[in-house]
Amino acid sequence: MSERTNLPLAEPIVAQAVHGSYCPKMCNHTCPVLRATGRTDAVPWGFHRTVADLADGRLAPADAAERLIACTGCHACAEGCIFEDQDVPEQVRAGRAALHSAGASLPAVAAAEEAVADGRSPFDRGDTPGAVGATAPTIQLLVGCRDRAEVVAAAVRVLGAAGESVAVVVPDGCCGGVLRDLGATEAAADATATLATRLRPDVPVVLLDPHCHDTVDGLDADRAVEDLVAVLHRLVESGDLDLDGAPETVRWHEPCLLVDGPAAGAGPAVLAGVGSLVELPGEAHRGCSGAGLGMELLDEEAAETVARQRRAMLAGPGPIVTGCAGAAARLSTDDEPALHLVQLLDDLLDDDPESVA
Amino acid sequence: MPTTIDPTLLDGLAAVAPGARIETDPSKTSDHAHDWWPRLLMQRRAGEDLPNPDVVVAPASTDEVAAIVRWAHEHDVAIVPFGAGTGVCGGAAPVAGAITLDLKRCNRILEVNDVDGTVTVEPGVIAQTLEDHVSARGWTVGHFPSSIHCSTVGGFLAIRSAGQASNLHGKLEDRVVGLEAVLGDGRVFERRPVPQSASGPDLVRLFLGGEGTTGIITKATIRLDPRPEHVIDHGWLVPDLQTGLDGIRGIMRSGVVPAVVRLYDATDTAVVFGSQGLEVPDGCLLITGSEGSQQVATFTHEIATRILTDVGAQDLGSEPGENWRAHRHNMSYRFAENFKPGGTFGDALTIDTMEVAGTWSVLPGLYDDVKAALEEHVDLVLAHVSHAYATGASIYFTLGAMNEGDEDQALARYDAAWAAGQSAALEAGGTCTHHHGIGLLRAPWLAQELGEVGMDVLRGVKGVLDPKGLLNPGKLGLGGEA
Repeated sequence: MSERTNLPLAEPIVAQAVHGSYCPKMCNHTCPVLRATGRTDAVPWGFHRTVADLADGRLAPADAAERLIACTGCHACAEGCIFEDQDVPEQVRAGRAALHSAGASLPAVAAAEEAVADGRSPFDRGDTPGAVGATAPTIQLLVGCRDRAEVVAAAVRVLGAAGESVAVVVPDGCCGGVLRDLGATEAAADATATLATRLRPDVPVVLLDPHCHDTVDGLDADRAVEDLVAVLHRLVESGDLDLDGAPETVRWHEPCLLVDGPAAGAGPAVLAGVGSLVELPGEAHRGCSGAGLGMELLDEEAAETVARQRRAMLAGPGPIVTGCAGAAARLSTDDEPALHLVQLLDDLLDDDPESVA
Repeated sequence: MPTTIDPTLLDGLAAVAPGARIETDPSKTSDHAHDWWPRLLMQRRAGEDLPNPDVVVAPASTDEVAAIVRWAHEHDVAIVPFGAGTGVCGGAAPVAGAITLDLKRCNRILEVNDVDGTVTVEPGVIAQTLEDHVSARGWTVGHFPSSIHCSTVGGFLAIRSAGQASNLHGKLEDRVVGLEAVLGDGRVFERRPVPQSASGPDLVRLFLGGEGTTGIITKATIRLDPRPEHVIDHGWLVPDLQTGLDGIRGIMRSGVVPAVVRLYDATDTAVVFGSQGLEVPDGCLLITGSEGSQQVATFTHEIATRILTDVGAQDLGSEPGENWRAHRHNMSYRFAENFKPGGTFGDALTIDTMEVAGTWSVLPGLYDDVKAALEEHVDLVLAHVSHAYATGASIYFTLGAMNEGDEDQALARYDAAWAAGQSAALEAGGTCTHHHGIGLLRAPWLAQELGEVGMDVLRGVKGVLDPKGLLNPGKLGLGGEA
């Protein structure tokens, strides 16, 4: 074992972690990572115990980094918990930040910092989407670090078809959200500060990746921020999009950040609005794609195992559709690509401009 | 048996079970340093570093389990089976020189057979996950322990668990119609699913309650019941415990049994009402929960009502029963709130539960004697009856003591209370345990319940199923030091 030392962690986090470390793992049944991997260190109890032990010096920082990797931040564990102040992902972030400050984080964290410092996404997503300017934009579409160019292009076409003038904002590598998830808080703050200079204060922001929510919400409390899925819901409901030929059945994967946010249920409503029968697999809330909290950067095997489990839960007819680039990437296989909702709508656009409202 | 594992052997382990996850890093194997035996948790709370397993191995199939066991048999390495690590008797506590076999990757729900009304499942499935799965298909396992959210099916089978609806659905062991287990030499025992049989002794029973000492359960086929359409929860007040016991005995012999029957002693009744800010009544709370189709649930409730009214129970309406159902897992959820450093009752709380059973004629004396014995050593003793049978019932004691931060005192009072409580239960004609199992905690008292001949039989069975004594040594007092 390596040298032990007490890591400085904020008191509310420590109190939550100490409490959880003596809980008999009551959220075991909710955790998609536990279910997929069977790993005891992936149970929220494992994270509680690790953070509590780091705070009181029972665990050496050098021994802890690999104990804080297999959480996707899906918050499923919070659903059944009767203690409202338990926030496992926040404990994981805090633990990772403390380890990073102590120089004990995994190499993947430094690699992510380096990528963003170079203006690259921490994720390998293929082509980098390009920024798009607009003289009088009605929407700023913020691209997440996992959004692929074809999804961005689809979003621009769909929003444009609804009469929006879209400016596409591409952060230098990351808005800061993923870096914060990894515990690289200073680099995250730098990335967010850079993003702030790119966004116009007077134009609503639409998030292509719900994982950017915390970052953008924190920039300016008065700024209008919406998930793209919520915007699409509004456009379909109001009839502002002329769509045709919806697939008979669609298997919807509800991203965890939509489940927790104001866009909950918006995706299925969009699909129902275009006439598709929506298959929501059982235990939808517990079905995680493995895309959250940077897990794929820290533990690719766990992320893939979780995604494989989710794909099995989604088995059935029709395409897999979701509202998160990370989830779409994780749920895609060579044989069966998962679509972002906006790609599906893009395919349904009536190409005759006369018919577009 | 060696007390350490030769690291050079582990290459061979990886070779025989290439799909298994093998962990030797102490910072990770520490997750398996204890189960949920409060004594181990108290030691940890006191600052003690509990010994980790040398190796944690996580297979994902029966074949891998069998290969690992064969390897262990060949090299004289002991094995400690481990599910979720939520057992409360130290049954999954590590053993020096042993590998801990984590079964949570063996977690497939293999088949729901709608014709037979069965589900076949691997041991690592969390029980609530199984219940959700069958419930979506119109069935229930009928097994609802307070720990259903956290514990595995294999763990529940290994300790002969009972759930809160056991009065109707039985203990989980009663629902097993087929079983697969890996024996100590790596051979695989398989009992095909059958509704019943007279083909010799029921060999399945050798593994239920074995706590991994007689074999490692790798698959079980469990009988299902139709998911109830209707539930009627109700509360009653009886003047004293004996009246409540009389009422329950009448219900259990009536031919229609509520799934839930719970009777709280006067102290526990005061806690139930007091914790809700309600006026504490003079008497004992009794809860019934009748279920089934609308017709069956209503009829069952009517019969229970008549029997309880006849013994003088006061009708409290549906609210106490509904309140119980809404908070039925709180005992487990609130454990940390009380137990943690700086918990509700201060530092160094002594707390545990002790469930024992006896026949109807034994129960009143059993209650009095165990309660008195425990009260010699702790500050508070609560008791309730929640698993009843035609011939008797289980009494579930909760014991607590405040120690003002003195962890040594907390442990001393814990040990003394257990010694006194177990002895009292056995001397009164009861059991060591009803549904938490033996583990390390109760091993000293097992012979007193089974008798010396019974222990000889148990040791003989163990010797056949695990000839080298490598399966979970020390648990149930079998096969060496733990």
